[in-house]
Amino acid sequence: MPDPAVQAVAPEGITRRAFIGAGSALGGLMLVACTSDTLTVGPEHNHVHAPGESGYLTGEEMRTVDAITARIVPGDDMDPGARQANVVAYIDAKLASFEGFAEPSYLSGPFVDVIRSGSAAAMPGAIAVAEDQLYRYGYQSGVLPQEMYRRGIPKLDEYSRSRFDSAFADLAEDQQDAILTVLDDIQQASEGQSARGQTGSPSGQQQGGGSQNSGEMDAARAIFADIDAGAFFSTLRADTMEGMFSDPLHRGNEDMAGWILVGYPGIQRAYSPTEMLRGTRRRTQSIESLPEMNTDRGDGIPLEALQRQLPGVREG
Amino acid sequence: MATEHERVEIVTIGGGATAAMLAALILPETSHRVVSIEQGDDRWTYPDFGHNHDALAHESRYAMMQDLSQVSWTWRPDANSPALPMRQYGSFNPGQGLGGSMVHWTALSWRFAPETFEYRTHYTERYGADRIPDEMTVQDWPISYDDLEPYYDTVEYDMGISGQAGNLGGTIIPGGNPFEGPRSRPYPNPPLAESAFGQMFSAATKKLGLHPFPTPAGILSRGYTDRFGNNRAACLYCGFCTRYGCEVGAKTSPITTWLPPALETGRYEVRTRSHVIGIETAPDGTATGVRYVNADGEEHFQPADIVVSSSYTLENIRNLLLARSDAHPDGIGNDRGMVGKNYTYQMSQTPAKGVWEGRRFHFYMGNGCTAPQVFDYDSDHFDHSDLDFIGGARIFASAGQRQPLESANGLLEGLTDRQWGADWKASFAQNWDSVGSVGINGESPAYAGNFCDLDPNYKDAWGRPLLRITFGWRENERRMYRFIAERCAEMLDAMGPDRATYTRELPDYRYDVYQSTHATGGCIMGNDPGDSVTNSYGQVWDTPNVFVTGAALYPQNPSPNPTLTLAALAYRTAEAIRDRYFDAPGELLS
Ligand code: SF4
Repeated sequence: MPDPAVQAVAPEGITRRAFIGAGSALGGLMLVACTSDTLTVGPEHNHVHAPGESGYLTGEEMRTVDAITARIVPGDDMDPGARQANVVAYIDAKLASFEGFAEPSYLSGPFVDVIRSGSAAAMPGAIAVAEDQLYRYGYQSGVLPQEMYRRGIPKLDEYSRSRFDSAFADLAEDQQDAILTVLDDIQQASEGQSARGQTGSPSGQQQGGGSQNSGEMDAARAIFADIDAGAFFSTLRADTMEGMFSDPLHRGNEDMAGWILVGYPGIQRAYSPTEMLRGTRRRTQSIESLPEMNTDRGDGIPLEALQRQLPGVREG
Repeated sequence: MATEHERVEIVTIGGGATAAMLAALILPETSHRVVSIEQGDDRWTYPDFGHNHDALAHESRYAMMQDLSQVSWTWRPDANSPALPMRQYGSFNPGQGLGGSMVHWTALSWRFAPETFEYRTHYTERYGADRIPDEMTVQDWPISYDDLEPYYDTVEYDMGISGQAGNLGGTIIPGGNPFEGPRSRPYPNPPLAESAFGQMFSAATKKLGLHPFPTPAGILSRGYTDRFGNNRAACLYCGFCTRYGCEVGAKTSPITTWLPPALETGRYEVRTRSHVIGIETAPDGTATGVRYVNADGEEHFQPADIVVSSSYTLENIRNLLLARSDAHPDGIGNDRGMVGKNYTYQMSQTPAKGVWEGRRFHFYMGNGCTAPQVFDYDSDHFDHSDLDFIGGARIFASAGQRQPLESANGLLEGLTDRQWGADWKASFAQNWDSVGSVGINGESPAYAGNFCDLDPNYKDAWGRPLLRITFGWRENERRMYRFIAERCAEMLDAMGPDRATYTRELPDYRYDVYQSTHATGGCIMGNDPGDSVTNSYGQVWDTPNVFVTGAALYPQNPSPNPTLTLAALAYRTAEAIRDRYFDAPGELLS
């Protein structure tokens, strides 16, 4: 019996082929259905982006990704943002280190295939998913990060050209923000309004939510076609935040710019109950500067409770 | 050909918390042998947790969680909707590896309230039978709080719980939880250190006439030696607790507490990187042992007198459903179609969040227990006569262990227009340590329409069907949330934030956002085979040499975290197996 296709059907019957299909994805995905604990290894730890040398992205892609990250967390030399923290190097290294996802992922088919409503009935055993409910299931497309970047970046440039006559990286900052805002709106629209909180002052006054330009959203959707424009943006946003705020061990967050930005002292061994109440003064540091756990308390006698690796536990 | 091992008395599916508890309590006083088949690796306090403060690895890349590429679970909101698999971690985070989820846990350690154990009876007697909606399949537990109290007491001392008693033998103790059931002894250790934000929450809620108290924690507030002889250090408030193993063993886990006495007997063995693929049965329906695939992909069979399904809730349900044979056409425990029924979850939400401009609360220190709690609106501790729902929630202030990386994904949700860009960055820089919230863990009553069965489309790495969850919130919970959210807003406002954001309506359940790993029910315990899968010992009615441990036994999910209760139940089961089961093997314990 063939695998039933899982289909997302747009409620109003206007649909887009947004995800790769079950049959085409299955074989390829099984090959990368493994995870790795390997730390990311990337280009040299400096500001010179080394396009394509040891990473995944080409020089031109690096330029675009760097431009995107620089709008997600903007900055300058006085107030570092993603560009100053070399977030693009983190992203490139992550893409190069993991053929699939960096986290455990279930990648067996069938995958969701958004098709024109009506044809679901033509596929025996097909499961129809209402398009406005799809967000509740989380990631379902089967599109892997490398593909998302490689195919999404040209779409972003195409949309940028259609609106402002230049590739994304060459646009003015406010134009770049306008482009990314549309993608963010597409992502938010796909999640409905149900999960959004109400904003207000303590007295209960309401503030407005984000603006939505439905014409631009449709234009971007049409250009992105089978790459989900909202998912492209949320992937870039999530990767930028990882590169900005994770330990410099992973190549981003250069000079601990992200941690210093928020006043986080980084990786420390311990805080006292007094510090819990009053705060502390520590030099911000990476896990690489954290001293090894001192299991012998300096007297050469290891603490039994910490050292215990008991017999009786072994690989089956 | 499967390699067949020497027969043992007990084999457990999973080398997690309840397996280690059974071994630690049964083995020292008997000559039995216990083998646990564990899918993950072994790991120890040192060296594995000595240098683990990496948020990317643990929080974004789920270093300690089950390998989703092997097994996942599908979900649908109702029986008319399609079910799709959890492809990346969302709603819940079950762990794997030696010690299971109780290594990466947050360590909130509650006793359930007395009325929790007589849920249907209690609400019916106090408010009338018509207060329980028809579609709600809530029922009484087969044991009472008083039955379980001695086991709670022993477990609390074995774990070295840090907390403040609220009800000592019927006397209400100021500063503790006045709504808790009577306890025979105070906690063995004093509460953990207070936080700046927690102090503010306590002061504000006291002014509102409520009863804040420190979170009882399975984390040591001072050095402690337990009855097994484990000599353990106090918490360092390091800020890397939930989703991490504790580097000093201050957070109670099987590694700190039950594995040492169990392994010291020489009669407990954990086989790691081995995945159980089936409970085998004899023609008469009795379980004979478990089949598993080891790290090298070879098939093994471990025969045993007793099979204990001691996995995570969802896998316990699946273990029974997959054990289909001529004697059990629908799986072990399922001769009356009860396996998968009364699947319940936890309503984990943040109804109110505020900014105190210019204040720094040092949220990056501490752990998930360094915060006070309010139980005035939990369970039936408040009068529901004029309310349009049953149930309640525990309410708490933001605790510690805040990470910039995790905060970037939602801390300012509701407080800034967008979650990126110049305005977001400026606000994040300014307010990262100034945003605090009032959160809830709410009840999840059972419904006929919320259940688990086998998925028809998706398979695990060994070709076996995944479990399919059918779950959604109902009107009772939406009303309960509305009421509780207003109380949270009052508490937050009483703390005087400069700005605030409120979520006044319960969002639809979604599978992709982390809420809680407290999935419960599905192999529920009861008084009668007609309304449950097991008796009060977790012994399966239709296959009495199979036991289930863990929160899958709960008939419905109250609001407090499940671990201490599942530990107390495992202690009670261990005692019954050790002292009575082998007098009449294969018979139901009474
Ligand atoms: S916060 Fe305390 S209990 Fe938690 S990991 Fe750190 S030292 Fe251990």
